[in-house]
Amino acid sequence: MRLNEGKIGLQESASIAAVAITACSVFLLDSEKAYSRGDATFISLPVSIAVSLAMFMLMWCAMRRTGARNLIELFDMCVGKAIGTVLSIVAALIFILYAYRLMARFCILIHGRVFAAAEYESVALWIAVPVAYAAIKGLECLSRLAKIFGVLIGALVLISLIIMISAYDVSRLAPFPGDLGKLGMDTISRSADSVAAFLGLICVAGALQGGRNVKKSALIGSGVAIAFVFMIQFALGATFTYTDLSQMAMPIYLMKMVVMRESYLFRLDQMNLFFYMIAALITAAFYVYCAALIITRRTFGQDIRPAVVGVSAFILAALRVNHRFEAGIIQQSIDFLYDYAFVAGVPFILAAIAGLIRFGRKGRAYEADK
Amino acid sequence: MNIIKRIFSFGRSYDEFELLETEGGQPGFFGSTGRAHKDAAGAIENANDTINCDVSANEERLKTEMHAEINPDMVMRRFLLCGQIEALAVFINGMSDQSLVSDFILRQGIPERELPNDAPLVEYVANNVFAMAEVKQETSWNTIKTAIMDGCTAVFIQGKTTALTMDTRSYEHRSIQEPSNEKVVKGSQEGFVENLRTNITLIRRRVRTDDLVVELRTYGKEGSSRAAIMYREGIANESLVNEIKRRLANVNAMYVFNAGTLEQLTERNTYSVFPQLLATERPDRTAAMLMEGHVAVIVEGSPTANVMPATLFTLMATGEDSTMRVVQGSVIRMVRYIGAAISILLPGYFLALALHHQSLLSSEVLTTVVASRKMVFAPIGMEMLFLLLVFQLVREAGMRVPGSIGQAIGIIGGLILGQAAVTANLASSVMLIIVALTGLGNFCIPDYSTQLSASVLRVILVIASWLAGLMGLFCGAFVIVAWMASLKSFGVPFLAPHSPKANSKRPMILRGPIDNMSRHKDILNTEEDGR
Repeated sequence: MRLNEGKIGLQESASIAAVAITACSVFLLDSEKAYSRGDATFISLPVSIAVSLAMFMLMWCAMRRTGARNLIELFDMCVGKAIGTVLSIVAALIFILYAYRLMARFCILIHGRVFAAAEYESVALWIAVPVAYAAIKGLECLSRLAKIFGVLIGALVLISLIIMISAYDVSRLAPFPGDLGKLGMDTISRSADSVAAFLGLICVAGALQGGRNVKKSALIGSGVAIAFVFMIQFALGATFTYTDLSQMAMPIYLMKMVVMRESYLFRLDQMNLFFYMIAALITAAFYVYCAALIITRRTFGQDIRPAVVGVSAFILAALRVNHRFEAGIIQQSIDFLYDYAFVAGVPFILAAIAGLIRFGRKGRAYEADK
Repeated sequence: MNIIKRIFSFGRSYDEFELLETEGGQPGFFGSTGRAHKDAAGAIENANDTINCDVSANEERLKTEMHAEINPDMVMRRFLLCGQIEALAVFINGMSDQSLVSDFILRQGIPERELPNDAPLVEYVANNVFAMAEVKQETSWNTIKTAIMDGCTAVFIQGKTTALTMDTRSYEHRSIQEPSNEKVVKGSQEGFVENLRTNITLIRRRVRTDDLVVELRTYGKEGSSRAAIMYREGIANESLVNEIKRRLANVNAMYVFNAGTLEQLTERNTYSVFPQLLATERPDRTAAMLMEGHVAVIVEGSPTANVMPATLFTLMATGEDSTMRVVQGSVIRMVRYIGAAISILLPGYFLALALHHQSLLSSEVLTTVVASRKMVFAPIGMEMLFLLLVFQLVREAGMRVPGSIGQAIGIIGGLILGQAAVTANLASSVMLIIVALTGLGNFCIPDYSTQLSASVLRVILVIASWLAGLMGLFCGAFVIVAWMASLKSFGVPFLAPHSPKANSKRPMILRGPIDNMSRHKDILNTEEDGR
């Protein structure tokens, strides 16, 4: 078997969870929709992470009851192999969708703001190749990358937020909380952003050395992510009005450039952008790896590499197609899928409940915990 | 072709040795590769491995096999043992000390004396006739031949299928000197030499524990190479020791005369830029690592010891670190890491800023760069690669020529050539400063092999930055760190104990107090940890 899972420790697994959740929550936010009627993202995004954590806990309980070692086994044991296969395909699609969204976001940003004269495809290639490489190297490599770069990027974000402190004005948060109905809807819909990271943890649970570590990783990772997402979104809300924010593609990137335009010493927004890109690369590689792992396990493959190459090539093709037919039917379809990705969480919850009912209270304990 | 096969051999079992995670039992001493071939060859060899009881037959065989008639240094001396029995002493002049052979073998063996009728003759001769400290009884022809070639003297006795070998080795070798590549201000000034015995002694003098084991092994296709595997029995991980033995036994090269070649033959990732073991010239450093639970392999004829496993932090440490005070040691280590980062990243970073991201530079810096490059005709990327090449040329030339001339080359290369290049508009002064800083940073890396790795990575990042600016630099750095994160040295992750985290209290970049050295490194998974 060459699935390149290996064994990872708590720090590594928590790091990859934190990086993935934060990256998806902050970088994938659609400013136009999120800030259309006020800025309460510093509430809705952390709460949405907590909502998906609750879903994860449900699935984790089902894992303990059923004794499943990973996502595929969990689905199979909860709802049978036929429906389990369908659910694992849905999970793989979610991974691919989020990997694609992250890569597309940075391709567009880098192409638009840094290398406007370059070909979009070459920018996409520069991003896709490291993602595929890291995914091929496997989970151990990805989790270590998350730990090494996670600390670095976290420190960078904190320093950036501290540097901007003079520009914060809480009155810009008005009208807080804005439209409550929209706030609730945002909370639910954006919970899908962190669902992929939690599904990823369950997908590679076998490598996390025990069920308790899976839970701890999720709790620590989501805790760190909630703290960072709150700080970033609050700082953004205190720096810009919601009308300004709704026109910014990725406000965290623009924040430093707009606020400290005159100080050349801090004209490092592009540096920050590439550090954020690293976080996106790690997250995208993790999702590509998880999708490939599901495909390999479902097809009884022995080697992760063909699936990783296939998934990466598919995403690269999608990036190219998306660019060629911007605002066309493909783009609209992807946007539609992304907006309603949270609906995919419903069958997972139902499957977990089915597993809990089926195996009752005397279910098998998680094998590694015995 | 092998690379293509490796890439496309899907489904092949993953044979990476995992020390920390998935130890798959003890590997056999000879491993699995080529066992059938070795067994067959062994059967043929066994038939010819016995000693003839006739001394003349043995003499003829030796003459044929060792080409004694052509080799003038091959000495075969017939004599009457105790004035009664035909015997033959064989040694190689130059490898053995003639006076030892004359005084303690021939002068003791030739005089007439009574031989006991009841006691075994060979044992009696070994114990009572020859005045040598170490006399071995050997029945294997090949072992005796190897011993003769190693400088021992063999004595064949008429009517006996057992021969005696005595250690009469005494050949010229370099005396113990200061290590040339790992100099320290404080600490020991002794370095390894080419003599295996001397090297083992240098370590034994430091590691005075009863659990230190020295296993002498011959390896290679011809079996002509010899190495000592040193470890602490009961401390070093048994699986690690077995794995090293297995890899050594699988070496099938025609000859291996130095530790560097053996390193390549025993490591897993042949195309890795980074070394997967530490090659050190210092006995004190080797001894310290043996105490921690590492394993050392010393090759006959090589003045370096291969210590394994090695992580990035091992490669970035020096033997002097532990002799310095905590704060001094920590600061120097940090400077070393900053130097390494400058060495790898600075040229690529500067190129990315100057070529693709001028907005990140202040107008003052940008003006300076533009002014200095005004008359330079080569593209900036080409200029950078050219200067890096010149730097490597100066360095390589300085190393290959004798000491004083080497220093002169460094001065000429650094000062005169640099100044001339700027005057001739071949290079800009700013670029020259960048390359000089890069070179200084590179010399901060203590391990020579890692210095070369940094040079390769630097060029890769320069090309990536040239092509895609900061995106190229970041993507390149990402791939390099991903490679490092997936690399393992004899089962130990290359970035341990940081990633993955280990329980070791010893900080790796900052230096901790000496108290923290009371336990073995847990990344080595020592036998003591298991107890």
